Amino acid sequence: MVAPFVAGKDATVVSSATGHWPIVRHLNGRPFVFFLAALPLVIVLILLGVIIDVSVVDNINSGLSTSFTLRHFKTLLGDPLIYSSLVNTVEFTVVTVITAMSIGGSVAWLVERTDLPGKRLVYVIMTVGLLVPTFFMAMGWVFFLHPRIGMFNRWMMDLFSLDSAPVSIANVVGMGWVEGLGLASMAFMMTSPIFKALNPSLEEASTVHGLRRWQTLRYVVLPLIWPALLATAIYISVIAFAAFEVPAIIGLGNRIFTFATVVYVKIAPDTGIPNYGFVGAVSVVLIVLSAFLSWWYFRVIRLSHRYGVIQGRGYRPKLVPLGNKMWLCWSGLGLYFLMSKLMPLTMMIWASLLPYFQPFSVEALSQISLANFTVIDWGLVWRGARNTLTLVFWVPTLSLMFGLAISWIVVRSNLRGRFLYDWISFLPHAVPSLIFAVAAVIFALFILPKTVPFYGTVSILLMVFVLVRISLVTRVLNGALLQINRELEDAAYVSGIRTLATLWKVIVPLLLPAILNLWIWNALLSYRELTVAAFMVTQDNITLPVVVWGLWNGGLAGQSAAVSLVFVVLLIPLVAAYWALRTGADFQQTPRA
Amino acid sequence: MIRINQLRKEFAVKDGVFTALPSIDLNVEKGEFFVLLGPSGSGKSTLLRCVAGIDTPQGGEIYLADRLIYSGAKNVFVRPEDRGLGMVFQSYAVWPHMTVYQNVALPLTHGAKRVPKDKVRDRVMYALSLVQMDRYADRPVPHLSGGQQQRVALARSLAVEPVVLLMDEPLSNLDARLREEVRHQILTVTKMVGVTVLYVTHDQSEALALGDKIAVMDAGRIIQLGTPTQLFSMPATPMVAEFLGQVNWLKGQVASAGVIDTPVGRVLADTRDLTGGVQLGIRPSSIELMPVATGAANEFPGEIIEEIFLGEQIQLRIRMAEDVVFEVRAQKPFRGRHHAKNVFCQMEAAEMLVYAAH
Repeated sequence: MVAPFVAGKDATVVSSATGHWPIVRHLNGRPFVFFLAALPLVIVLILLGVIIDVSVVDNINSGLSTSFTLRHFKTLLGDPLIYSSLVNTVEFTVVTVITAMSIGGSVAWLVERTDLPGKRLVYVIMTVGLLVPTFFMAMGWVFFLHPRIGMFNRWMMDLFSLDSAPVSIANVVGMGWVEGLGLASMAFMMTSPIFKALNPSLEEASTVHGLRRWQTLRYVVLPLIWPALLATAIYISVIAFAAFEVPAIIGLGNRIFTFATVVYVKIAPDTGIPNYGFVGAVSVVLIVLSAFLSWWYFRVIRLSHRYGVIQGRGYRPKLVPLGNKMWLCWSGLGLYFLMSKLMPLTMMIWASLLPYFQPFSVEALSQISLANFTVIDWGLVWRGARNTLTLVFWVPTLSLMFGLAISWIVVRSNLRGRFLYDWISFLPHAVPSLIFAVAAVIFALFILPKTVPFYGTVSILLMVFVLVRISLVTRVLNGALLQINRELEDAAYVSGIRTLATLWKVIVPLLLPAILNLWIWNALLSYRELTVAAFMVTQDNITLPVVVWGLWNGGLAGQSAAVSLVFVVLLIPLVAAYWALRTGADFQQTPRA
Repeated sequence: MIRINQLRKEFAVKDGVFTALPSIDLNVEKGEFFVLLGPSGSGKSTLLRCVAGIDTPQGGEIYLADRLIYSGAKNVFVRPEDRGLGMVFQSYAVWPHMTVYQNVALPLTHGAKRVPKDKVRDRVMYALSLVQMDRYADRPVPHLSGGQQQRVALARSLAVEPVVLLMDEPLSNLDARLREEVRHQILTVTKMVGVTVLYVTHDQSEALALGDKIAVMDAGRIIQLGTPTQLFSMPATPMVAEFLGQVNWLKGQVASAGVIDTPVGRVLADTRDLTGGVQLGIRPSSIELMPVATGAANEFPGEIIEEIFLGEQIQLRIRMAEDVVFEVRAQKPFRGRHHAKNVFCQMEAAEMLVYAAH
């Protein structure tokens, strides 16, 4: 054994982490973390400022200093399109929430509270559901139920000699239905913890004291879980309210507008120049309404915590025996899988093989070819794929870096303004992501000096992609950080380890499961992100989903289907990686999109 | 080694400010094992965390080995990582994603005071050998028991050769048997290394067993400071007396110097300069039980009304007078059934605790 050391002796100290270079000291310390956390939040505030500014200045094209006006809001009030799109948006949101909650909630109940066999498979169906791009599903439904070309409608008209299509997807209810099918996965993931956490002894107490099953449900279970269910419904309505993909794929071609698509046609008009002032005014309305929904969400969430229904682990909820009804339940699940995944995929494959869309028939079979794949502008697809993959790597990496800094400040530091960090980092959820896209475009075009080449680059996409991911990342990391005993971190400081080294050597390894999960999840969401990209791309920074969207919008449905199949094939390794990582992990850790 | 002047610490609470430490003065000598003893909420942990730099005070000064590490007036705050400390936490705070070796090595390889690469291994293994954990070096720490984890934490804090070793209730998460074992280890290892220790606990037996000096704290103030024997035999207040061990209380009147009239009878004790109403405290250990009267001073009859078997000892409740019941620990001769028996309590005059009645 070596010679005993003497306390307080400094003889063996060879280097001090402060080093000789002052820059190293700053990089090593808290100022760097504070800077890292503040950077995205400042940009969030700037972009929101830009949008509000645009809505009240006369003409943004001539710079910021133009005079104050409420003219854009007056135009807005006088525009009949706004009223019809407001009605459409509300109706669309309601149908979406009802669809998503009734499917997702029922599946969650089946999984958590019944003896349904094959629950693992249900998890797979529901989680993979979040990864299938909504635009992909929407396109499939158009091919299936379009009043003119829809396969189902054509069959029905031929079979029963009908003059017009019996069902149509090209209306607000149809759009809400498709959006709801897509969001059912999220409703499932958000409601299953509610069913799981409900203490079964509360139900047992009710049964023992003579209440029947429906009475227990009515007087005990529902009052207890109602706030949590309502909160989930509001959360989903925030997403639906500003959803772009489904209204764009289904509604735009049929002149059915929601707020999101109104903003789109105003900023990217087929003819004339974009009316930025008007876009700003619509955006402000959208911000206000979304902020109201988020405020409501928080109120309800607080209510749902009041009962403290969550009783910790260690008990097994009593499972309702399904008996023969099990087959009925699995048929329902199969139908959901068919409608949300299988049918759209089949439609897309079929559509990609035909010169123009038509139902299955011998004649159609004779026209099958790979022509769509050969006429595609592969240069464009290749550019889109390259840009998309760049984003898939950098978006999760950067958003995790910024998110970790923010969460650390919010949860761990004693900074006075840390609640501000928390509050601002939630804004990208409360404010629809397309607003940030629009703001970034305006910022790059009119506010940045013309010499700064930012508009039309992958960097501007990267910036907005990262910003809109910050809310999700910080919510999940806040929760994960709270799980880590604070003394583990204090122990590092007291033994001389600096902030960055502590973050890197102690906090990050402990958060690794959450970080990996978030990374892949964000990579997948960045891969399928259409909304933000559609508002910002040019020929140079085009992404794969926008290539699909562009072809679709241009009426080239077959080519669009072909590219989207390429897109889905490229998705497979990512999903596989995600799945491999998740094996054995609790599925409920899957963050909300 | 540690000098604290007029340290003030406040916490912002819902309706205003809570003053955890109004103004603390403290001096810890080099090599001393200094214990802060007090009930929960007395501010002892807050004081420790201020020395560690994990909490920031609102005023006053802290010197560590004559180096100013905090001053409210001069706006000095040395970050915890630059104070050169070691600390052992109540929750162990060993990093669960690392092995025993890695836990001890991390401060040496990534800390403020780094050690040459070729020296790290020797240092780590030596520190581990001090706590007999060297043969577990490659174990992941979650596989260890609580006592072993705490020993790893002790090794980690010693390996950095700290100016001062801080310990925040290191034994309170351990069960009774382990507590004694680790307590013994803490004492031998710290004495062997010669490190200055600032130790926080709410357990008086820990404080008495470990401390060279003890400061008893209550409501953010140091009530009394002294060696364990000083504190035990001459507690400054009834609160300190009770905190250091069980006390039987008697109300009385000073009849003349050294003589107190009580409901039990006339008691001889050092009344110092007290007059009038007093409070008289007698520790169970100062009472000797006699089966028959011996006629000695301070001997009073009583009736055993309850007995509780504690194993090595027996605890008796003895009625000395109307409304006066003493608790006494009895040894061997009093084992057995004694209910309702009369005994005589002899009380050591020199060990009586006398305070002015309030």
